[in-house]
Amino acid sequence: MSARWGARRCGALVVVAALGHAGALAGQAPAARLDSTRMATATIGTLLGSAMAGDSIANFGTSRPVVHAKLAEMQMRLSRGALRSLPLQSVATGRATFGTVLRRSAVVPNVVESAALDTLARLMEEEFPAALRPVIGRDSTTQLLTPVDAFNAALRRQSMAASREKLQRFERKYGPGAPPRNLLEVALNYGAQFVPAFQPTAEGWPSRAELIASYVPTYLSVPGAGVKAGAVTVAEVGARFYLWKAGWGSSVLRPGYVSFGAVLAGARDGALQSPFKGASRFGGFVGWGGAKVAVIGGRNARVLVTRQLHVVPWVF
Amino acid sequence: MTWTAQQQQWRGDRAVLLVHGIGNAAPGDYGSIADAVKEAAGDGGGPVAMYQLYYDQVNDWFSSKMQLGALLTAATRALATRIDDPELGDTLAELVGDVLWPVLLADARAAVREAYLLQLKQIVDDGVRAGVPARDQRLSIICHSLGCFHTYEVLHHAALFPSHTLQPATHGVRFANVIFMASPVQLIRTIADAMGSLVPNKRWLYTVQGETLSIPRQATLSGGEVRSVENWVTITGNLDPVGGHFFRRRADWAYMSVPGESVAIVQPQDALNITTKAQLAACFRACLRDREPPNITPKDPHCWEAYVTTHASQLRTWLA
Repeated sequence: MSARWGARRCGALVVVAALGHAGALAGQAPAARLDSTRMATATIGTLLGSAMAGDSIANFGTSRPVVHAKLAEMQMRLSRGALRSLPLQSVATGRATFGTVLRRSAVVPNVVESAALDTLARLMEEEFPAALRPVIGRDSTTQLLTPVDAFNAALRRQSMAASREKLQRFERKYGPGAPPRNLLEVALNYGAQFVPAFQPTAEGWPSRAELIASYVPTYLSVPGAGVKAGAVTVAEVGARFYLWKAGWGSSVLRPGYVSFGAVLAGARDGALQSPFKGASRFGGFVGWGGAKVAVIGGRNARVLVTRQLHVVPWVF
Repeated sequence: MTWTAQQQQWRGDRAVLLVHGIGNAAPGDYGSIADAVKEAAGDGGGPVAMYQLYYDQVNDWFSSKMQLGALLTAATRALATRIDDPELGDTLAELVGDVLWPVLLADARAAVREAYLLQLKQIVDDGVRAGVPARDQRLSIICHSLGCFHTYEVLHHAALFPSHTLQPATHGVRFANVIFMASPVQLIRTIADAMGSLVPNKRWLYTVQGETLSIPRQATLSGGEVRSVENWVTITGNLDPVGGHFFRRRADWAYMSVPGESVAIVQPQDALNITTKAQLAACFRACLRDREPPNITPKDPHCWEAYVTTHASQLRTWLA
């Protein structure tokens, strides 16, 4: 492995020569600016070329054999010919998915190659600046590391998109358009924070779920055989699940959340009744955004409909 | 309205991020502090790109959906007991209590942290777009009060998770200066410890991790270690309870001291002419508001602008 790496040193020296700065620019100030064209066109091949050049210039084979061996190992893992021409900017954002691997239709790094790419860029960022600047100066080091900067910049833009998506999800769950909570739900969901399924993930993605425990005096029964239209009061216990899909959350057809759970009604229909008074009637509810349908069983089974309403802040 | 990070056009290789504390800050607020910092930074080291992190919009999502009155009251009582001063305890606890609420909401912590991380990534990206590689960017953060807590959390998270591309070794993102002004991080750590199991998702609350507070760092593949912050500075006043001082008495349980920090300054606040505990309590009572964050004025020992102007010459040295 090491011999093969060493044999490519002559190529490495060509890369250094191409930079046109080797040695001569040591100590030059101010620092070189990144070349946006070179960043945009950097490929896995140029990254490998820079790795070889840096390894050679820093003489890691003698001074840092562990780093030298690791660089050679990563080179081996990225030796598939088709990879070399892949632009780093697209590689960083388009890792192999199960589908692309199955179809074998696109050249993308597999899992091992992706890991090698990450490790190679990391090694170069960690080891090259300190080793190269005293030898070839700040400007040439910047130029040599341009492929690393291109790779990290692409990863960063992908990460920024992920952060925006996380914030949009938090806003959907807690922001101005989110269903409000009553005090009981505040307490329940405070407790739920201790259950992993309700916590944000380690990476900061919010949980889809929240608990519902609500007094709902605004259901209307659907008229049918022996059932008149009228208000029905129930207690709801259940869960709400937020839908993160892009384009959802702003219309009746594509709501931001669904909900389901159990309902409990008292013996008598009517608005503002106690759901705990008299013989209890049980059932269930499902919600599609703000629209909810419930069914309560028993001798006077009926279908109920309502919209998500918060009549008295923090109460119901 | 979705939260967005500030973007700036870099003309040099320096950027400063200002992170405010308790209060209802909106975009455009704290302009005088930005001006003072910009002036202190000077042009000697090249133009500086100024950013401000306004995270109260994110906080508002949570305050409209979570009513934490009872829990905050419990936290404030625990704090008053800890301050153990009959003249000052209740007033200072009420003032300082405002910095405790993020501890109680795991989602609020995560959301503000994400907004902060996005802002940092935007800053680094702005620099790269201007042609300055991340490793050559001179990044500084100046934070105040609750902003110090979010800064501490974000720096630790960024050093731990490669997905944010802000690691000091892997991605070359190292902060030249992080300046904590009137930091409540140690105070939050102590109260969070005292509240024990009432604090959710402690695993990802960096303020309570480890034997002591720490400077975030990352191990390299070759066995070395790289700090996220080169110059770690803490500044507080000897009358500022948020910074761990209760009428010129330093309380170790509330004062932020981090092993390996570069500079720690406790500024005498004699110029405020507060000579008795009663005057101090009255000063803070005057800025407390019902159901709203306190209104901190320049006469207040916790005033951010006063910290910046008092330490302008040091800022000039650090930010150069």
